[in-house]
Amino acid sequence: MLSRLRIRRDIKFFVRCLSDKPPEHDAKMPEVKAKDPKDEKKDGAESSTEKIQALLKLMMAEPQISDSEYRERFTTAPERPKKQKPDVIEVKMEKIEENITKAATEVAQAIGGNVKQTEAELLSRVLGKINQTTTTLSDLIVGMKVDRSRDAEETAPRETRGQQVKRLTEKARTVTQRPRYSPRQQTEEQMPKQRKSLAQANTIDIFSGEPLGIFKPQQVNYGTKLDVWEQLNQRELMLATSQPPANYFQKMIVWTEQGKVWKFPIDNEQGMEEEQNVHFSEHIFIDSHLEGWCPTKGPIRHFMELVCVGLSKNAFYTAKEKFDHIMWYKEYFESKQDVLKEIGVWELKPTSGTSEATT
Amino acid sequence: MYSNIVLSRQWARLACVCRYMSTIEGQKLPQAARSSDGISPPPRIARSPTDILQALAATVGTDPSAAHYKYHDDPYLIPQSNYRKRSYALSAEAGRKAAAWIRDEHAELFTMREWDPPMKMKTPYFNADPQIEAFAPKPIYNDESKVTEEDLRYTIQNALLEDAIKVFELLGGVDNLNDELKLSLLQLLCFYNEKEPVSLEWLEERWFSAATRERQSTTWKLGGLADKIFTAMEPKTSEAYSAIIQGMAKYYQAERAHVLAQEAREQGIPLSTTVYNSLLGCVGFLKEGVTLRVEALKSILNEMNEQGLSPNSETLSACLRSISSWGSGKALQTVALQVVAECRQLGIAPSLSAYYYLLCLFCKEQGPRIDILTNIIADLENRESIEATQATDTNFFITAMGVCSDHLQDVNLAERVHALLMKGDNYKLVGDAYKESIYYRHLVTVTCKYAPFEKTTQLLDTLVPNIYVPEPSVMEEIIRTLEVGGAGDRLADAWSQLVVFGHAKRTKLVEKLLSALCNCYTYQDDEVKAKIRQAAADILKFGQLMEEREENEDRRSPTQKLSASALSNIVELCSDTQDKLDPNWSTVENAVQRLRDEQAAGVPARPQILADLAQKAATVGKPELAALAVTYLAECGFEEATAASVQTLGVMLNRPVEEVETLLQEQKASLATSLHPSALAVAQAYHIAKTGAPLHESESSSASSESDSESSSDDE
Repeated sequence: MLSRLRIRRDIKFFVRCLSDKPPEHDAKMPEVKAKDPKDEKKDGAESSTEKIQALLKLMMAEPQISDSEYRERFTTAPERPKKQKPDVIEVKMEKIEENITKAATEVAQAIGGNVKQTEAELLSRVLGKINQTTTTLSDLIVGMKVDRSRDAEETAPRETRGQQVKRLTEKARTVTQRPRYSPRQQTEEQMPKQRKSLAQANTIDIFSGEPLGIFKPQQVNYGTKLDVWEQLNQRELMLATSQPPANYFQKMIVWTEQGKVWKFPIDNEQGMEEEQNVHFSEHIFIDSHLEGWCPTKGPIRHFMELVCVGLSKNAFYTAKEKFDHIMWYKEYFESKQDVLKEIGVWELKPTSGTSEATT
Repeated sequence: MYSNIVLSRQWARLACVCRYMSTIEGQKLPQAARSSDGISPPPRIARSPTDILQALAATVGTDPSAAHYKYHDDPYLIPQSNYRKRSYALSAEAGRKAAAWIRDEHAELFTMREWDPPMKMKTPYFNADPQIEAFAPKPIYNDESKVTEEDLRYTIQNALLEDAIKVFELLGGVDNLNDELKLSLLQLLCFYNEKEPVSLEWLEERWFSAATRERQSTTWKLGGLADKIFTAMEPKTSEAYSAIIQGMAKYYQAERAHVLAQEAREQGIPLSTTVYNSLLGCVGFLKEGVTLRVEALKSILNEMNEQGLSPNSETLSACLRSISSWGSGKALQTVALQVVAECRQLGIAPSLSAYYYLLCLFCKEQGPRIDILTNIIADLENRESIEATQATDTNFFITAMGVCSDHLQDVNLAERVHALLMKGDNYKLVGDAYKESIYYRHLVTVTCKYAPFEKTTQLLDTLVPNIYVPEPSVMEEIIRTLEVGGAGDRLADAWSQLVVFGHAKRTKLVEKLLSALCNCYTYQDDEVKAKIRQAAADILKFGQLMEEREENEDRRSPTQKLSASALSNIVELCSDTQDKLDPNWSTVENAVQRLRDEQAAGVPARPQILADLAQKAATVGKPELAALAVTYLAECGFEEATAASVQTLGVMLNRPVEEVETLLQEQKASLATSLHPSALAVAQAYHIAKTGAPLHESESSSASSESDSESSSDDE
C-alpha cells in the first residue's frame, strides 16, 4: 500500500518531468553534452553508467529461483483454482517500473547525445534522490530500495495465504478508510493529482468587462443616513477584525479603549471633563459668594471665611458643589436669623445697610 | 550691563504674562511665533490616548519561536496542541467572566470606593473620579426598576438589545416615546433581528467561537417588535423606511423588503444607497433563473440611478455577492465583470469582500482553472493600505489561499498572498482562529506540495507549533514531504510533534510516519539512525501505554491498534544493531510477540523484514527471538518462511545451507533430541511452512513427535 503510494508519486514526478515541462529537457541537453567530454576523460565514468544499466536490468529480471525450480525443490500445497479478479491497480503497479524505464529510454533516445547518461539521470530524478550531478550507484539504489523488494514479490505467480490475507485486508482498508477520515479531504487531495496534467490556467483580467452604462459620474449622494445602524456596523466590523492582544502594549491599548486604565499622557484631571471649562479662579476665590448675605464682620463672617478657605483647597468638589455648600450655610443661618439677631451677630450693615443708606 | 540684562528678562517675563493672559487659562496651543528670548517651544501635537502605546507596540516584533502572548503567564503550561490552546485561552477568559458575573450579581457590594475622599464615601459608586464604567456593575433592568429615557439611550448605545427591549416596555411602549428614540431602537432591533449580539468584551470567546456559517434563508422575525414599532410610527420618515427595509433585507425577508421599498418610492420618500445595497444583496430571492435574476439586479441599479443615488463600494460587493450565490457559468461571470467595470468607471475600487465574491464565482472546485487572483493580488499590492470596510472582508485571505492551494496550485502566488497578509496592519484581516487555521492549512499544503524542500522546512520552522498546529491531514502532507526530501532527522522529530499535538493516537498517521522512517532510514547518518530507532521504539511504547490506560479507564471507543505492517516497520528499524545488549532488542521482541499474539490488524506487507530479523537475531545470539519470528512467518503462511528457517538454522548451527536442508529431511524424532529448543522451533516452522499444513495439525504432529522423542530418549 505504502510502496504503492510511493510509486504513484514517482510517476507523478515523472509525468511532470516528461509532459509538463518539455523546455526543461531542452535546457538539460547542453548540460549533458557539456558533461560528456569530462566523463570520457574519467576512468570510472563509463563503467559506472554501465553498472547502473546492469542494475536496472537486474531489477527487471526474474527472481533468483524460478517458479518451476521452486516447485521442484519444495513440495508445495496443491494449487487451487482461483477466480481471477480483475484488480486494475495491482496490474498497473506491476508494470509501472517497466514503464518508467521504458519511457526514460525513449526520452533519452529522443534527446540524443549520451543516451545512457541521460537515461540514468532521468531515472535518478524520478526515483527519489534528486541529485543531478552525481548519478552514483548508491543514489539509485537508495531511491529504488522499496520498489525492488516489491518487484520480486509481485512476480511470484501464486498467492500464498499470507499474501492473500494481506491483499484482502488492504483492500478492505482502502475501502473502509474513506468514510472514516473525512471524505471531503480525500477528494480534495485526489483532485489536484488528476488535475495535474491539465492545461495552464487561463488568466482573466477582472477589469476587462464592458461597463453596464447605468450610472453617470455625478454629484455624490448617498441619501439618508442611519446613525445607530452605522455605529452598529462599525461595531460588527471591529468585532470581526479584533484579535487577542499580542503584547503588553496592545493589551494596554485594549484596556485604554475599554476605559479601564488612565489615558496617556497621564492627566490627573481625567474624568473631570465637566470642570474643564471652569476657570480655576472660580474654584479658589469663592469669597464673592458671601457677598450679599453674610455679615461683614463678626463670628459668622469669620466662620464663613474659614469655610471658603477650606473649600478653595478641596480638589474633589466641583465649583457648583462649592457654591451649593456655601448656599447651604446661607439657608441655615437665615433660618436661625431670630436667634442670631438676638445675640447681635447678624448684621448685614455694610452690604444691605449701605445700600439702604444710599437709597 | 547687569541691569540691562535684568531689564530684558523682566520684559520677557512681562511678555510671557501678557501672552498667558491673552490665552484663556494658558491652555491654548503655544504660538509658533518666536519669543523675544529666543526660546520657542514647538507647537503642541495633539495625540490620542493610544498613540504612544501604538508606537510602542509597533516596536515589538512577532517572535515565531515564542508562544503567543496570552499563553505566557505560566511557562509550564504553554499549550502546544490546538485543543489545549483553545481551552487555555478560554479558561483564562472564563475566569474574567466569573469575576464579572459576581460583580453583576452582587452589585451592592461594589458601590463603595476605598480611595474616595472621606466626605463622599457615603454616596453611590459613581462619585469617584475618574469613574471607570467598565468596572462598575452593569445596570440590571427588571420589572421593578425605575427607568428613564436616558436608560434607553444607554442600552441602545451599548447594543444591549434585551435590556433595551425591557426598558422600552417599562417606559410604556410605543406611545410614550419620542420619535428620535423610537427610530434608534428600531435600528437596533432591525440590525440584530431582535437577537442579543456578542459582547465586545470577550475577545477570546469570539476568536475561538466555532465558525457559524451565515445561513442564506429567511430568518427575519415577522410581526416582531421591529414591525410593531414601524407600523406605530407616524408619519413614517425616510429613516424609518430605511431601517426596516435594511433589516428585512439583511435577514432575507426579500419580498417584504422590496414591497416596502416600492411603497416608499410611491410616496415619494427618498431612500439611501445603503437601502439599495441591501436590496441588491437579496434580489435573488425574488426570481428564479439566472436571466431573470440578472434583469432584476439591473433594474434595481437603474432605479438607484433614477433616484439620483450614487453607488459605493458596498454596492459593488452586494451585487457580486448576489451573483456569486446564483451559481457559476460564463453568463454570470460576464455580468460580474460588467459590474466591476461599471464601478471602476465611477472610481470605486473593489473592496476585499468584492474580491472574495469574485473568487467564489470564478474559482469553482470542479470548474476550469481560471486565474483572476494574480491580478487581484497585484491590485492589492499597489494599494497603500488595506482597510477593512465590511465584516465579510475577513473571508478574502482564507479564500485566496485556498484558491492558491487547490485551484491554481501556485506556490509563488501563495507566497505573495502571505506577504500581503503580513504587511502592515493587515493581519487583523485573517478573521478568527478557525479561519486562521484554515488559512495556514492551505499555505502549508501548497508549500509542501510545490515548493522546494528548503523553503518548506523554513516555513514549517516558522509556523509550527506556535503560530499554527497542523491538523492530521496537513501532518500527513508534511510527513510525505519530509520523506521525499529524505530528512530523517526531522521525521524522527515528527513523532514527538505528533505526541505533543495530540495526533499520536491516530494510527493511520503513525503508520505513515513509520513507513516514511523506514524508507529513508538507510542513507541517514549514524546519529540520525539512532534517533530514528529511538522514535520507533517510543511509538511502540506509546501504543502500549495507551492500551493500558484504556483498560484502566474503560473508555467507550478503543483506540485503533497499530497494523502488522507498522509493527514490522518498527522491527526493521529497531533490529538494525549488532550489539546484543542494545536495549532496542526488547522492543523488537515486544513487537514480534504482539504480532504473534495477533494484536495487530492484518499481516506485514514485507515479510522479508521478519526473515531478516530471524537471521540477524540468530547471528547476534538471540535464538528465541529468531525462532519466534520464523514461527510467526510460517504460521502466517509466507513463503519466505522456508528460506528464512533454513538460513536461520544455518546460522544457529553454523553450517552451510545445503547441509541444513538435508538435516531437515531427517526424522523429526532425531531432530528433537539433537537440537536446542529454539532451533527445534525453527525446524518446526520449516515444516509448517513447507507442508502448508494448518496450525493445529502440525501442533498435534509436533506433540506426537515430542512424545516420540521422549520415548526414544527413554529408550536410550
